[in-house]
Amino acid sequence: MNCISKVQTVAFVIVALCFLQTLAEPNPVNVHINPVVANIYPQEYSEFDLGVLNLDLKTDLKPLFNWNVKQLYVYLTAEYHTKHNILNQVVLCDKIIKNRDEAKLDLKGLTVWFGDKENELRGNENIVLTLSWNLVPNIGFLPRYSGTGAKVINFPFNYKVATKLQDRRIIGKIKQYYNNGILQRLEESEGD
Amino acid sequence: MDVKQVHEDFKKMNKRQVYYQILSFGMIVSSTLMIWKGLMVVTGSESPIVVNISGSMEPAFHRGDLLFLTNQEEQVRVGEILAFKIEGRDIPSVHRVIEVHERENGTAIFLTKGDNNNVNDRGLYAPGQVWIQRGDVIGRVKGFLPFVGMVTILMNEYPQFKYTVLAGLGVYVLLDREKY
Repeated sequence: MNCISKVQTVAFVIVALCFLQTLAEPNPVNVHINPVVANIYPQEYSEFDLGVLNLDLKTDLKPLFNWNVKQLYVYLTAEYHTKHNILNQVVLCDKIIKNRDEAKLDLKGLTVWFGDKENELRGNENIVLTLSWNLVPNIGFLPRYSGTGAKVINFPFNYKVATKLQDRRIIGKIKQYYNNGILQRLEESEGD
Repeated sequence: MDVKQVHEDFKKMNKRQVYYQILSFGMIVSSTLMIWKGLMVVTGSESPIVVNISGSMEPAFHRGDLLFLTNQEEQVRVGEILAFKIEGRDIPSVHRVIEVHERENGTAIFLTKGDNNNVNDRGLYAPGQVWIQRGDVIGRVKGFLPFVGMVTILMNEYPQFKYTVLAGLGVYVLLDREKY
């Protein structure tokens, strides 16, 4: 019985140390989000205008990995205000990074989209784009951090009409994803 | 402890020792209850420790991981992992918040999605339900411990295992002796 309680104590101490470790705040990480092209598209069979962003994103998350990091859940958030709500947050795309080798991001021409439930994106200003991550440890707390270098954008008031066939196809696919509740992955899009 | 010794101990048990064992058992049960209720008060959650059952939050959480919840007043933000109830389902869901819409008076609605799913949770919500509210939330996942909850899952899925564990615990409690 004595050795069982010894093992229990050791296990408890190890777990407590892991939890303590996840309380340590990492150094700030710089994120570059630019340039960003923001457009508003109307939808024929849906009440929601579609805000579409085309952006470049660059950051290095390697320094965040240590012995107690299982993965990073990385997500790009758009935060904006509307007449109805003082705060709206929408995750535009996400990615799960499991090791240091995948932790350097350099994406060009990433296309993301969102709609507002009260349809107030047209002409909406001071929308803040931030890259954040939830640190999932092997054992411990699950803290969330954001990178420095948030980007502020505005949506134009005028609708953009997709004229070129390729743009119409892309917008059509985006509408399908949006209406089916699919969340874009934070990675290079194929075949644009 | 070998079988012969156990058998002799058993024969030697007198009334006082039986009462003592029952009292010890009562102490264990009541202190466990006190700790659990205390945790409920401190965290503000009706269920401060839960076992993850589904695989929809992989690779972050697997079946059998132990999740620690709090339910403090602060507003919910995207990226947080919520444990919440859906009408019509008895098992709570544990998924990540991907949208927050907050009014000036503080009320807010959320949209969730499992990390392992491509689509958001609207297909899982009750018919006609499009958002989650603060009242549906059991707690927010603040920490976790892998594998430890697997015992609970095994006990639920294999009743014989549960009875064996309970019987074993019962025997241990009755026969364990403080060596003076």
